[in-house]
Amino acid sequence: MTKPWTERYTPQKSSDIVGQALAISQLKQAITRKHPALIYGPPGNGKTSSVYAIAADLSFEVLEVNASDFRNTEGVNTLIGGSLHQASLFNKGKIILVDEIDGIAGTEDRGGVQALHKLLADTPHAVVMVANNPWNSKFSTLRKASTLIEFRPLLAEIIFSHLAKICANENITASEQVLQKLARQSQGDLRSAINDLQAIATGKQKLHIEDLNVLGERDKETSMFRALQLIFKSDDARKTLNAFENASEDYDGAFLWLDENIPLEYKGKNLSRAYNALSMADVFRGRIRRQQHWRFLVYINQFLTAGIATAQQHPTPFFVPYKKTSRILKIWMMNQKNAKRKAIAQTLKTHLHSSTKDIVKNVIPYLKIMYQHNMQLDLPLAEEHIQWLTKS
Amino acid sequence: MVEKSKQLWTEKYRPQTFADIKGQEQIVERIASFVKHQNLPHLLFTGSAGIGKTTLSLIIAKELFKERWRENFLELNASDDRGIDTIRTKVKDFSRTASIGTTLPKIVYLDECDSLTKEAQQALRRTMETFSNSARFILSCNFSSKIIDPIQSRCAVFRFKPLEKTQVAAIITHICTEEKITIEPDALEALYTASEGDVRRSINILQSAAAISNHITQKHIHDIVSAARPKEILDVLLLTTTKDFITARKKLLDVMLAYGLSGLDVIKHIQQEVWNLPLADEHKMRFIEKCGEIEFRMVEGSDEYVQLESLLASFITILS
Repeated sequence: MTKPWTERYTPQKSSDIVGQALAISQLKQAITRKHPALIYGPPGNGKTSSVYAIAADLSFEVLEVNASDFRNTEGVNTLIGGSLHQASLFNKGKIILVDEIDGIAGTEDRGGVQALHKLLADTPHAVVMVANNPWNSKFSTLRKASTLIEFRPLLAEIIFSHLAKICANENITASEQVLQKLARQSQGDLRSAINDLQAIATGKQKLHIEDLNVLGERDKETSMFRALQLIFKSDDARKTLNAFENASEDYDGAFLWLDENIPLEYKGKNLSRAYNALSMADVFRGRIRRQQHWRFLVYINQFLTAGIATAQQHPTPFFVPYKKTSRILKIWMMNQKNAKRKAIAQTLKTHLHSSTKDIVKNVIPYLKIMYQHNMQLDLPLAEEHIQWLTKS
Repeated sequence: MVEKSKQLWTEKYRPQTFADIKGQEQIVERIASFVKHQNLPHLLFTGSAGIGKTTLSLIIAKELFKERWRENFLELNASDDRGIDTIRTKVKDFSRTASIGTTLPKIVYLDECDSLTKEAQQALRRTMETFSNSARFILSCNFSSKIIDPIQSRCAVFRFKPLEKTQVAAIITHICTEEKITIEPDALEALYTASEGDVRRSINILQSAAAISNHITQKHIHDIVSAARPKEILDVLLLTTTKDFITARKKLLDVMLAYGLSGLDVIKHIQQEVWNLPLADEHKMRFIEKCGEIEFRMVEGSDEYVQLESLLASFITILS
C-alpha cells in the first residue's frame, strides 16, 4: 500500500510550490508582519500547503483550527485556550490557520464570525484564514480587517510538468497526451490531478493511450471519488455530512460506490460496522419507496456519510484507487446467460399457471433432476430445451 | 427400460372440483357457496406458495362456466405482465365482450399482486371499478400487508393456511398409489419437513425421487432436496469463517445470479446451512440471530444484496 501521492509530494518549503509566486510573497509578508491574511481561491491550488511551507521557511509553528469549531466564542476559547496568548515552545513564532471558513454558516452562526474577530483582536500571532469564496456578505467585516490574497487556478502547463515530475519519480512512463489531458481536466486543481494520476497509474508502469478512455469516466467520477475519500479518510464525522453535495450521482449511485469500496478500506469489526450503516441507510431507502416520506433522506445521508466514517476511528493513511461497481454489469451479463432458463419458463408458464420467475426458481431445479434420470415428460418443450435440462 | 411419457404430477393431480381439495375447508365451503348462488365478490387470496390459491381460482372458473371456462377466465401474473398498463390493456380487451354462454361476469385472476408497487395498485383499484360490471377479480398474493387498504376493502379476503402434515401425507400417498410407487414412512416425514407445507414442492420432490427409484427412501428425499439447493451457499459461509470477505461476497453474487435467487431465498438457505458449519453452537445461534435481524431489514429495505453483505460482514465479526 502506498501513501496518497498528494501527501508524498506535499511541498516542504515555499520554493517547492508551483505557480503561486506572487501570492506566496504577499502571504510571507503578512505573516512576518503578523497582519491577518485572508487567502482564497478554488480548491487544490496550494493555499493550505503554502501556509505550511512558509511556516517551515520561517521555522514557525502552525496551529490549525477548523472553521466548524467556531460555533461561538466559548468554543474558540476552550479550543485554543491559553495557547492563543502563550509564546510558542522554544520561542518559535506561531501561525494560527483557520481552514475552510466558508463552512461558517451565515445567519445561524453569527457567533462564528464574531468569534473569528475576537481571535484577530486578541492574538499576538499571525492569523491566516482560508476561503474558497471570500465575497460572501457574511465575511465583509473580515475582509476589511485582513489582507486579501488570491491564489489563482493553476495553469495547465504547470500541472502538466508537475505530473511529469511525479511520473519520473515513480518510474512511470506516461505519454505527453495522457498527462496533458489529466492537467486540462483538473481545471487548475493540482490536488485532484495528482489524485486522478494515482488512481489510473496504481499498479502500472506505463500509461498508454488507451488509459484515456478510462479518463472520460474518471472525469465524471472525480466528485464521487472525492466524496468517498472524504468519508473514508476523515476522522471528523461532522465534516463528512456534506460529502455528496457535489456528487455527480444521486444516492442510488452513492450506495453502489460505497458498497463496492467499503471492503477496500475497512476490515474486521470496522467492516461490519460500516456495512451496518449502509444496511440501515438502505432500510430508510426502502421506507421512502413504500411510504413516500421523503424526510427519511436525512437519515440515508447521515448513515451513508458519518455512519460509515465513524466505523473506523483511525482512518488508514493509504491511497485507495476506488473502483466503480461491477455489480450492474454482472447482473446484465448473467441475465443474458440465463436466457435459456427464462425461455423454458416462458414456454411452461401457461401450462403450469405460474410466473416465469417462479418456474425458474421452484420448478426448473426439479425438472433437471427428472430429465437427468431419463424420465420422459409430456411438456411443450423444444428439443434444445430438453437437451439443456438433461445436460446442465 | 423405455418409460412412456409422463405428465408433470403437479398438473396431473391438481384438484378439479371443490371436493378434490385437501385442506382450507372453511374457505372452500364459503367459495362453493358463492358459486352456488352465482354471486361472486372480488376476492383476495393470501398465503404462502403451493397451498391452493391458484387451484381454487381455476376451480371457481370451471364450476361457474363449465366447459366454456377458458373463454371467460383471464389469467395474469403481476410479475410477468409488468406494468399496470399491460394489465389494464389486457383486462380491457378481455372484458369488452360479454361473457360467453352465460350472463355471469367474467373472471380475471391476477397472481403475485404483492409484486405491484403502491401506484400500480392504485391504478389496479381503478381498473377493478371501471370493469366491475363485466368482470370479477380474484387477486392472489403471499403477504396481504403489501396490498393497499383500498383494494383490501373492496375484496373478500381469504387467508390460506399451510397444509397440515396429515393432509400433505394424504395427497402424497394417493399419488403413490396411482403411480404404483412406494414411499417409506420416514421419507414421507422428510418430504413434509423439506416442503414446509408447500404441496407443489412436495409433489415435485416426489416425482424427482420417483425418477430415481420406484421405492422412495429418506435418502432419496435428502439427495433431491440438496441437489435442488445451491451448494455454493455453504461455500460462501465457509469463506466468512476464513474471514475472506471480498471473495465471499463475490461468490454470493455469482450464486444469486446463477440460480436466480432473491435475497430472501438466500437468507433462508443461509439460515438452514448455519447448522452445517464447523462452529461452536453459541456462534451458530448468534448467526441465526443476525439472520433474523437482516431478514427484517431486507423486508423493510430496498437493496437485498447490500443487506446480505452486511450479514456476511457481521458473521466475520462474530468469529473474531
